[in-house]
Amino acid sequence: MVQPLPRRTMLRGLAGAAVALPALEAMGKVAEASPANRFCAIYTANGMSLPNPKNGIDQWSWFPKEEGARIQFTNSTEPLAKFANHVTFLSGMHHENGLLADPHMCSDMWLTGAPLHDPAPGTFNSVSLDQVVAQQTKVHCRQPSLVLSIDAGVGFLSRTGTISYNQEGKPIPAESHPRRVFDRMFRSDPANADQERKKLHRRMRLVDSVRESASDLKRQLGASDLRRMDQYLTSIQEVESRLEASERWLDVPLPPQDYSSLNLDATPEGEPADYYRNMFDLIALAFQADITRSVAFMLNREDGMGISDTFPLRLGLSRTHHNLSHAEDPDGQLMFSKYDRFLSEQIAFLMQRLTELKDAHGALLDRTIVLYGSGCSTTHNPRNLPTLVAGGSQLGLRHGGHWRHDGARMSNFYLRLLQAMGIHAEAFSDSTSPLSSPLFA
Amino acid sequence: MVLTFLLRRLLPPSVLLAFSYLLVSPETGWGQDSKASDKPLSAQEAEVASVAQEVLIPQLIQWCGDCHQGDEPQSGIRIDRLGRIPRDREILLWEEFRNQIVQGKMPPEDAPQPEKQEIAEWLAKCDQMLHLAKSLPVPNRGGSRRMTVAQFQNTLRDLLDWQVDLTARVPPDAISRDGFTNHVESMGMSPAVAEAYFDVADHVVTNSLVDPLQPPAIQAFQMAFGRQINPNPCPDALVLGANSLLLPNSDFVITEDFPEKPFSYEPFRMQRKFRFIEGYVGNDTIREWKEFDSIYHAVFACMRGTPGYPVGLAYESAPDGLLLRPAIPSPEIFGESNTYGPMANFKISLRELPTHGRFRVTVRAKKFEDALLLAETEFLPSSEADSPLVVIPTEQLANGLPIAHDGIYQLDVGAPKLEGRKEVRVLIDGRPFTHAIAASKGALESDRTSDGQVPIAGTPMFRIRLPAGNHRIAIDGPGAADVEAIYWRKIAPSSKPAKDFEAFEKYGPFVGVHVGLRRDCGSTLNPVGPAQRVESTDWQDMVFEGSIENFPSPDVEKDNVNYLAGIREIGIRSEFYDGRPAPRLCIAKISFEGPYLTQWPPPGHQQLAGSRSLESIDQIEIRELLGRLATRMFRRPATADEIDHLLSVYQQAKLGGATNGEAFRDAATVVLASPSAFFLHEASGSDAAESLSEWELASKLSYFLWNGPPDDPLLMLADKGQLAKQLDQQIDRLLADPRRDRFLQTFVRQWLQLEKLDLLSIDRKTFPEWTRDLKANLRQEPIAWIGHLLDQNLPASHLVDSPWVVANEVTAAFYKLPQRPSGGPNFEPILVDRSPLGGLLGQAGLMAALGDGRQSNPIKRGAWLARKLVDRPPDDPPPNVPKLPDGDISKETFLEKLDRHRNQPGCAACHQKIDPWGIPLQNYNASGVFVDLPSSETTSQLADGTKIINALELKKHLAGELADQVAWSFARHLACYAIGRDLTYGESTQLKMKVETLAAERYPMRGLLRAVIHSDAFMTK
Repeated sequence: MVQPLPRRTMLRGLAGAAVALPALEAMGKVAEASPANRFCAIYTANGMSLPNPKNGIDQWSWFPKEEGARIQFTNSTEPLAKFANHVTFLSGMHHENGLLADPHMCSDMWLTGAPLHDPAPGTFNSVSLDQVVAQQTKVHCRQPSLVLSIDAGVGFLSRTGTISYNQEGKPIPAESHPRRVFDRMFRSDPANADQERKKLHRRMRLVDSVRESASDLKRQLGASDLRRMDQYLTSIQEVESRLEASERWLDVPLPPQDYSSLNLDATPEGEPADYYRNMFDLIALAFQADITRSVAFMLNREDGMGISDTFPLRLGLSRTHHNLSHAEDPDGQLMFSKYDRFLSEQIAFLMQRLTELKDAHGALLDRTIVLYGSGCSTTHNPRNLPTLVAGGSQLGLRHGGHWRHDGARMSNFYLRLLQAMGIHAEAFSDSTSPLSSPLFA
Repeated sequence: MVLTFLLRRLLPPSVLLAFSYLLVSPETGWGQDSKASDKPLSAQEAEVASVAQEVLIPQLIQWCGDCHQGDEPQSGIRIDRLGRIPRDREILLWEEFRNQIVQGKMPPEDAPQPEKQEIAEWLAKCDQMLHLAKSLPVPNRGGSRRMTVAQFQNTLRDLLDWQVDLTARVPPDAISRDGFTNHVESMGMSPAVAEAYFDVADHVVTNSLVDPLQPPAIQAFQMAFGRQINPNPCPDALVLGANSLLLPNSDFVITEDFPEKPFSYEPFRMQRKFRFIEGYVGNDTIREWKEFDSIYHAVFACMRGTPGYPVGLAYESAPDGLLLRPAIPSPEIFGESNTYGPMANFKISLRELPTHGRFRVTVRAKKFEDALLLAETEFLPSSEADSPLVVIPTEQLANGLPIAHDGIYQLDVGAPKLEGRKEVRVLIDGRPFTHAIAASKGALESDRTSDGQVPIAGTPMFRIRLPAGNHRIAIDGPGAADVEAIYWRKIAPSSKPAKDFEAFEKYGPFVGVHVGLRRDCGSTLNPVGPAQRVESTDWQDMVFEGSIENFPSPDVEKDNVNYLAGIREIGIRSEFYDGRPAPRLCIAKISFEGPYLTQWPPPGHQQLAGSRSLESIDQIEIRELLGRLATRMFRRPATADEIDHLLSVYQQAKLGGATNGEAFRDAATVVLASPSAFFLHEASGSDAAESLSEWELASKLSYFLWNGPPDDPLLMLADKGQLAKQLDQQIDRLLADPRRDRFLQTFVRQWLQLEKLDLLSIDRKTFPEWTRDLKANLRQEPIAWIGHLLDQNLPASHLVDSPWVVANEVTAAFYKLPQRPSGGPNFEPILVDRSPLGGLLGQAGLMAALGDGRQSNPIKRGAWLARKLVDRPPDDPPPNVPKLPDGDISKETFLEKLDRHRNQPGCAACHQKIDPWGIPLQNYNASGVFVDLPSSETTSQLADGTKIINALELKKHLAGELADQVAWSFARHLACYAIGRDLTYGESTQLKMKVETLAAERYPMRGLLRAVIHSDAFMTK
């Protein structure tokens, strides 16, 4: 039984300020809450199939052949055809810094665009797109972000196991197993909540003390120009109300959801499709419950690292993922394309779930931007990054086309995505100006 | 936006600055007296108000109201919104009205013109009103401004011994119009900033406090070097990633150390047993579990870098150490070179380092008594020899090298049948000298032995200093089999080869320590403090210290299953500067200790909480501790109320069940997070100008000249009320302290916009010499230059033109200075008297930064010069003006494109204030190097009509006719930086007068700095 929250909870805090409040159906009324904008980045390593023309299997190319407002799906992407009005292919883009770096770094920089060939002193990488989103959306939901990967942890620099980097450019460890994800995201551990509450209380007490000492100080300063101090007091009051909002989350139960489709015993060691589908199901459910609004998922790793390298073999294809990506022969290239088709099927599954599951504002997909792509086109080629955008029609995205943006910077595209998410950003990484594309018409 | 632009077109910059401030600052609104409007007016104010309101404004509305009132005023000028009393910067606007009317520019020609008589009357009244308005007192009400992120960081460093850089955790400070981050109007306070400062306070307190009763764990080990030094080398073939390049297992030994400490500690034992599933054979995926058990799988001696050392070997094992040649930077661009770092890139690669605290790396090093390797044409002519040529056939080398006299010798090898180029190693008394040589092409006719024979041709190999005696000699290496004989002869002491050798052997290499993490692309190694010179040929211990959290850490999980994951690196280099031949660095051993502690609890804990365990002390002592901490952090005595408040925080925590230590931690966090700690306050009692309190003055001075908190001597003077009296001595003391570098780094960087250089991506194909290292050195040049001018108190004209430069080895080589400094990375003044150099305009880093790295950009340079050096800021570009395409490869020259652009209507007027400054600077190319150009490409006419034909003339003009303007610009920028806000009208006038008194002395730089500090803007609140 879900207890509706008292309405006045919503109204406490500072008048006029953007106060973070749980925007849940549990609150009985959601009309006041602004709808949730979500972001999901999905990465596949080693590029996509772009068969050599001499092999005569062009129908297996990942990119649609023609540019334009209608997508001609290929054998590699055909599973996505039923969502033709919800997807867009973008081609021709790249990271400027990708051209300068060792191509194995392309997964490290896919979401960051960082100059990894010439890092600024003391730095590791730079903040990733999903974390910029998380920074903005975290006040609305329980967890700033969900970082997933085929291999738990972070891998290591230049062969990363995560595509997500925090504000300081440090890698954010990824979760790989559905059960662990479920336990962390969907099961509130009472002991944990208690600890969390203690921490919050301490913080609230201290912030309150600081605010008091600031007020005392203001009195001491007498006739001085107090504009800056007033601004500080306003800010610290808002910090207090944010803390209160965080504490309220501890008491807000998760909305009831149907978990019956989940197989939490799925692991990367088992059936690849079973594994990916359970992970995607978890993403969709987490979005629906508004547990988080930012997700990054690394489907497989660069350069044959990790367990996903063996997935093609398990699917009955002839070589490992990394080996297939280097194939020049017709057979190898066909196999690589078939693996792409397998991945397209998984992405289609996610889209299916995001269409079926709804929040108070409709199908999740309509306010979720899904970014699917790779850091190289064919393996080790850092230009023309394969990029698929799905969802977000309510965020102004106009789907159904394949648009070429030859030479455009990924960072410009990312900047434009942030803007579509309603995030005020002047720049992202090495962006120069937001990408203009019919996608954002 | 459009309004602002139009306005900018029509008004001079000084007015605009004031005006745009009024437009964009909602807190100020139009009239500054809006806040004071409830107060009764003084008689003088009443008179000003009545003339302005009753006479001047109604007349203006009549003349100009059609265009300049209501919601869509021309140029954004709204007469109907003028303040009741023109105050401060609005005075500038009134002066501009006056000028427009005097010059007949307004009302415009096509509007009805007022009568001459009317104008004369209005002007008279206006002058009378302005005269009174200018002498009105400006309300002076002190104020508070937040410390910048860097200032807060320095405060924690100086006061609490907190060494870890936390600046990345705080949103960066915004940049003001003048480029400063400490400007009160631009440094906002948002919940994110408030929260970040709070987090930092909490983090610092939590991580500084230790349990004094719990012994710390200390990791200490050493790696010792020498040929065949290890009697029990690791039997495994060690591999560390693709293109692994490791020192032979026999040539180094790793041992764990147990340093003596005045307190007890737990030695940290590094893990030796591992289990990995991949990464232990190059980069390949193996996916097969394998077990390892040796410290040599935990700590590696790694040499992987860019191959192809130009002369000699990058590394070589000597009997008593490892020889390193200078680490030549590689371009590190994929496809052009590998990305493994410099040539000669030795580092200890290892799996474990402490996660926090200071660490110490000690390098036992000496200058190797090295040989100078020769080019194959560097024969020693008989005229420069001091002995006959001696030939020892290879088979007789076992008899040794009989040297009769101390001296410098040349050694050649006779290898006429050698094919291609092969390495030959000559060992003299075990000292290795390896050189790749080609077949001997024939000796000089003069190279005959004493019996007149030239038995076989020799290839020059090296010159070396040898004492008298019989020396062991041996040769080996790939080319050794082809060597038939060794030739040697003594070099005449006063000859050029001898002199060259003496210069060579005199040079002491610099040892640098770097810490980072391993990866396959790009270097993450960062220097641990400055490089240190190794002068002596005797062993000495060079000590390097840093805080481990300031270096990139791999952050991999403990149970990562890849052999290559999470490897840290401690790089030890002989630093490369200008590439002159230099003796090699010899390293006997490298010791690591971390956390490096000399006392327990560590200083950070002691500054916060004393040295005793908090659990055993009573409330009275807690009160004392908190009072002491608050006084320290607030940089003034904490009041009893403040201490009571902190004690209540403590007690509240205790009531909630906290231990003494936890409760103290809470109270200490409140101290650090309180706005008394991270704001700079100037408390004011009234609108009248008051003197700063002594405590306020102490902080204002130190945050200006040190970018950090006052030290004990400053605070003691403040305590005694003596600081204002001893101001000049204290200014000199502060500027003599190393902390003044923080001021120079911050002020010069922000004033001159050096961050543009950080963002510059220069076209390396055209300018290959622009390596990362060169850029880093060029970036320091303007900072070193301003430091030099201040130290020497030179005239401000040296800012723009000077016979002197400051240079270090890297920049001197880049500028091809005739005189080479020998101080490695350290800048020293050099008299060059070469007109393109000397002064900021000749500094390549600055000129290059004001471009796109491909082409020079006269507009950016001109706008920069106008703003920064002569304080005549041009207007911002209007919105939607297409930029000149960067790096366009079309045939049109830049000037032609510029012409096309600026001749568009609306562009010309602004460009008139920009381009004439920038066009003569075309003499500096995109990499900042002076090039001769026809004067047609570099001639311009300044707004005042002066014709300038090239950069050299521009420099002379700035240093001559415009010297007062340059001095003012420096002083004005310095003053804004010092006080963290813009100058008011009155302050600006007063400072100008102070600056003008220095004209006779040609505006000495330190004099200007003193004038800023002595100005009302600085000294009153």
